[in-house]
Amino acid sequence: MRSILQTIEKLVSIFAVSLYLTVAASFLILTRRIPVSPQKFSRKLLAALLPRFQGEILELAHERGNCYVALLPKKLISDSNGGSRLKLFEDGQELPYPHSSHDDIRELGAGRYSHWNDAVYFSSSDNSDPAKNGKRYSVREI
Amino acid sequence: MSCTGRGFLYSLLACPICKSSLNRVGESLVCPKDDRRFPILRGIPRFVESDAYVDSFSFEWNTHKTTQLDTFRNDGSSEDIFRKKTGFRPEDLDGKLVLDAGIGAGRFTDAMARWGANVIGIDLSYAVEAARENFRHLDNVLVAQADIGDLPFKPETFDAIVSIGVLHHTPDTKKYFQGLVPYLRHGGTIAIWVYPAEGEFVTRKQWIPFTSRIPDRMFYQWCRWFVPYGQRRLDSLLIKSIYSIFPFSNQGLGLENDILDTFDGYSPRFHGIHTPQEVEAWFQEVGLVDIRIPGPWNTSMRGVRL
Repeated sequence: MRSILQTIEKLVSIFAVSLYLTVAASFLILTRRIPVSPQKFSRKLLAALLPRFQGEILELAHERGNCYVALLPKKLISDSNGGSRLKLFEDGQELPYPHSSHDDIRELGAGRYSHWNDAVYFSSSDNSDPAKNGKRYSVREI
Repeated sequence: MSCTGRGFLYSLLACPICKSSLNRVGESLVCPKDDRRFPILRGIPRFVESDAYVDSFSFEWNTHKTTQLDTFRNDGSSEDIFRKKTGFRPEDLDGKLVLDAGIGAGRFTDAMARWGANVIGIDLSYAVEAARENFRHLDNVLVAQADIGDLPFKPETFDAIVSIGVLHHTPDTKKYFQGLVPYLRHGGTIAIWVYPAEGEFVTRKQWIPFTSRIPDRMFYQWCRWFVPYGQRRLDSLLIKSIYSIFPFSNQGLGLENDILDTFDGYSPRFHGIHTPQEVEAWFQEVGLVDIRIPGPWNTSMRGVRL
């Protein structure tokens, strides 16, 4: 009986909080408190119709800790404006952690990366300096 | 008197109001000046009557008492973070008297105690119950329930003060930080980390007025369901879209840590975000010297009191 009540409580919590957060998210988006706007939505739609970007990272700079930064074309949709489709590859192998927080990239590294605004913030798989480790880095939208 | 052991640490407690040394009378500490009494409940001196605005921390740290403690995780993840956020090494703190301002369940006190420091950990929340349980066997750790803004110590007591991930949860990050400095001995070091004004911290701040109102137990149940669900589907368009407006934890330190960290990120009442320049200015204003960022986090900073 107790476990049934606990399950009901859990389901009610999940449903009620999901509903509440959906309403809150709508408010935050409509009032532009978080960075999703109709303009960005149309940009996202346009980006979806354009060919998927791919290219090699030839220029990069050290940011902090394990984090390095390379510029990307501004037309791409990044995590700061609706969810990046970008994958980062090291010698052709996909790095394991997209959409990572910048602090985690700096501190933990190990292949974490983030496509934010017009740049990719990333770390190499072994936290070596990607400008000097002899490995080739490329990006591709999927 | 020996400068180690719990008896010594108890002797450092003072009346938060008049700063007089306290006398122990039974299970209370008594101020000799105004007879004010501070009870010792379940082995913890109490200088506040409730957990005020930090009830979410009372909940989370008593639910996740050991999730982030290296001693229980059998790894060095918290110690590693502590080193990088404070720049302290074991030899810096061995035998030193340290205040952990906002101990939580004690993930950083766990590291400092192993290094040989004498640590007093204070917290406004009932996280002190979890911390006391984690350190009851250690003679070099004392846990007390107190407000960072109203500390139960005399000025110039500590060799070092650390406050990692705490001050931005007070009503005024700068004021509470600067209020800690007088408790540092001359030549002592203070090290803090506060949320940076960038990336997901900015997004989360927008959510706080909504998420902090959800009853803790309900929001925690939701995090327990959503975080593993979201992590399994991070490549789906729906979860990517949700992540971009509601970033949840994915630190690679285990699912329990990520559930805890997501709850921790959205449930507190106060969520200050700050730039490195702002933090540096706070240090300069109170005359700290040798100010530097010790590691990869932009808003972790340490300084020395002249």
